[in-house]
Amino acid sequence: MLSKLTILALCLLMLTGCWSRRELNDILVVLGAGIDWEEGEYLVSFQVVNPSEISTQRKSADRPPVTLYQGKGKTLFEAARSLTAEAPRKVYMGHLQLYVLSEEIARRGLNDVVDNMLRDNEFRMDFNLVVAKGTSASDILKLYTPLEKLPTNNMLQSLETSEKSWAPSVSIMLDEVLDKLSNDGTELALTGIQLIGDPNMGESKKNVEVYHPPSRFRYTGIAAFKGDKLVSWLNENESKGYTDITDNLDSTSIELACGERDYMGIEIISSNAKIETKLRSGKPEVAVSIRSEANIVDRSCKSVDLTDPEAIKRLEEEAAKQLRSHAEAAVKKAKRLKSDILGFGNQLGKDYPEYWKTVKDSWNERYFPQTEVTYNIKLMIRKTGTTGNSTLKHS
Amino acid sequence: MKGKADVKISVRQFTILVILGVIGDSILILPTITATSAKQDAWLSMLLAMLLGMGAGWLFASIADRLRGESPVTAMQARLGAWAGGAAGLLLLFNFFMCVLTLLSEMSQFMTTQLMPETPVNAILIVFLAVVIVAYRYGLEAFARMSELLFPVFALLLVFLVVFLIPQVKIENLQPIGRTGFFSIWEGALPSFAAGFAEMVVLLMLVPHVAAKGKLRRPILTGFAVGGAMMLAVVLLCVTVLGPSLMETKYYPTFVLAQKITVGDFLERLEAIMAFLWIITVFNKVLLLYYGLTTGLSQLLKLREDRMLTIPLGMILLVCTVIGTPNITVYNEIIVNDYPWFDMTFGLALPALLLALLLVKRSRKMSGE
Repeated sequence: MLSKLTILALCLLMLTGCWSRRELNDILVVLGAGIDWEEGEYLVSFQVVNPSEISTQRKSADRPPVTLYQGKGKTLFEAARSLTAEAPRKVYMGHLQLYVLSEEIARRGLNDVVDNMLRDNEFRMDFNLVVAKGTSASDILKLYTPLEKLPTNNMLQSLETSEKSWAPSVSIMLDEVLDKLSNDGTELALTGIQLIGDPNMGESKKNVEVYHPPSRFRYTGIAAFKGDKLVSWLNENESKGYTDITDNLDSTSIELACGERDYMGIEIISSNAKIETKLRSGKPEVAVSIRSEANIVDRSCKSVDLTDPEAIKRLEEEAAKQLRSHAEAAVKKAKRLKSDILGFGNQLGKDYPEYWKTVKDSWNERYFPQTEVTYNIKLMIRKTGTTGNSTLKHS
Repeated sequence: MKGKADVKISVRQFTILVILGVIGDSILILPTITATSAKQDAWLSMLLAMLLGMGAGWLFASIADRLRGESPVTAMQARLGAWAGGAAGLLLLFNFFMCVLTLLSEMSQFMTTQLMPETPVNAILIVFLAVVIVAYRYGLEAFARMSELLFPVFALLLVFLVVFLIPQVKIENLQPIGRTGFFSIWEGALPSFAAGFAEMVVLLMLVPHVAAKGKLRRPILTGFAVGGAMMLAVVLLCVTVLGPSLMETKYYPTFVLAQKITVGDFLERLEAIMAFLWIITVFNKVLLLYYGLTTGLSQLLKLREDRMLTIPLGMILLVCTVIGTPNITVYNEIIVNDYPWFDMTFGLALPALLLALLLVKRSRKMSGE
């Protein structure tokens, strides 16, 4: 009898469940986080979900789908904890999707921030990092976005889509950031995010009550880092070249001028890039090979006869030339910044480990800017859409 | 109640216990340790450790086949006399004791850093040890059967991990192969060998109970090979999926591996389920060591009853774990710098001595006849 009672009592002890359990209604699910640097302290902003607003039943619609909490502190942890003075519950970082870094933080160096992310057990490795360009990180997180109720979802999807089909952006997750910040011969590059339009409107719900939201976000170009510090922004062409060389490019658009205001529109549908390195008389050389397939999507140049195989060949050459100019621009910029964002050194280290050991310490400063880069770019036009030469009369 | 001598486990169960024991805690901590010195060549370290491990397996098997149904503790006492043999046996038990400490420490650190940060270490240790003690009290036969039952679960989870991570494998992470230099690879191989294979000297405690007609060489070597191959697969996955920097930075790279699984945007966040994988192996190894410790102690002291040792030993282990490794930095310092040598001494030198003893006695007996 006694033993049965003991067992019963022990079972009761077990029934309380997990020690560290946290129920869904005890946590704030953070979707987006942002860090700014303000008066010598970190300003951390957490965008948390407002669960009642995104549930499919019971819509009140008078509150925003997400809420922003901010905290300040000398360390990121202090900042994150100090916001509990405002927030009703503790934050949960396991569902974080987007981490926005302000440009100032990026220029000061990312190591502290990345260290904090790696150390915390709730952070997973699968969120994207972007740099806020010309605005604070918290402003990006305060934006009402159309279509998607959760702004971070919107931003994330937009980042993924633009990476796939527009090119001057890359979606980079924490594990890649760590990799690039730790390894020799490759430097970090993150996508920039910008607020356009009326900056004061974004925070208000009115922003999404009109057809064309007055305040919007836009991914603009790539931020090049050296070490853990942002050194410069790549413009659109350089960014395209960067994504192309690093084999992130999937699809993008190329415009070939023919005449004063006429352009042929070419859509790259797939692109593969390879970096090969060589040592010639003790000097490193890099060969970039890009192989792309493309379709013709616009023809405003009546001089181009799409039924003529020769014309296709000429277009292929010209488009390849343009790809090459993007790639060259990216390499030139990287060399000027003395920051090997393209990962040439990394490849060299794999191909010539012995040589790499001798140059890796001064690679960025001395060897990389002098490295000769050759390009081998092949572009094949496969289709011209559903028509050859349209019957439209050109004026 | 059966007498102790009648407790029998099958060769199959024995092999499974060895496999799970080899993987043991290695699956949690070794990727980091190997990557710290060998970087992208961590898998070469593991391969080297596996080769060395087969050597250790051969040594253990040679002893096992000569013990003829005796436990190493009683064998040493019989051959060397009560005092000298007892002292040698005590050294063996000391090894088991220290091993249990490292495993308990690892286990509790993993649980509190990754899964349940607010739970006190003591609570986790008490519950864990309670299960170990209960399993011990049910006896070797019962927990051997349990391992037999858990093994398919373990294998399935491991296959699951490997298959779903294959799409994320980046072969170029392995390049340049073998360029970190032999010394670095060796430095990574040493702890892998010590923690994975040398610590398995505890399998000798099981030997008297294996119902085998022939020799034990095959099951032991099979166990070492399979366990080593599984570890190699895990390390290879770590290098190719995570890359050496992440592997080196994170304390528990296999956990990050599990986080990496995403299948079509719906099958993800499986790490808590995958954690079961290493809980099985760590539990199994702790149980083996605890079995060796308790049984060995009762044999050493010639006790008729070993159950009375279970709870006191558990309490001592609990306290020593908390005191011995007050924080993770102390623990890592010990495990990386000192522990491999400790393991080598007690997991290789001591068994080698035992083997020499068994050989000498045998030849003396032969010449005496």
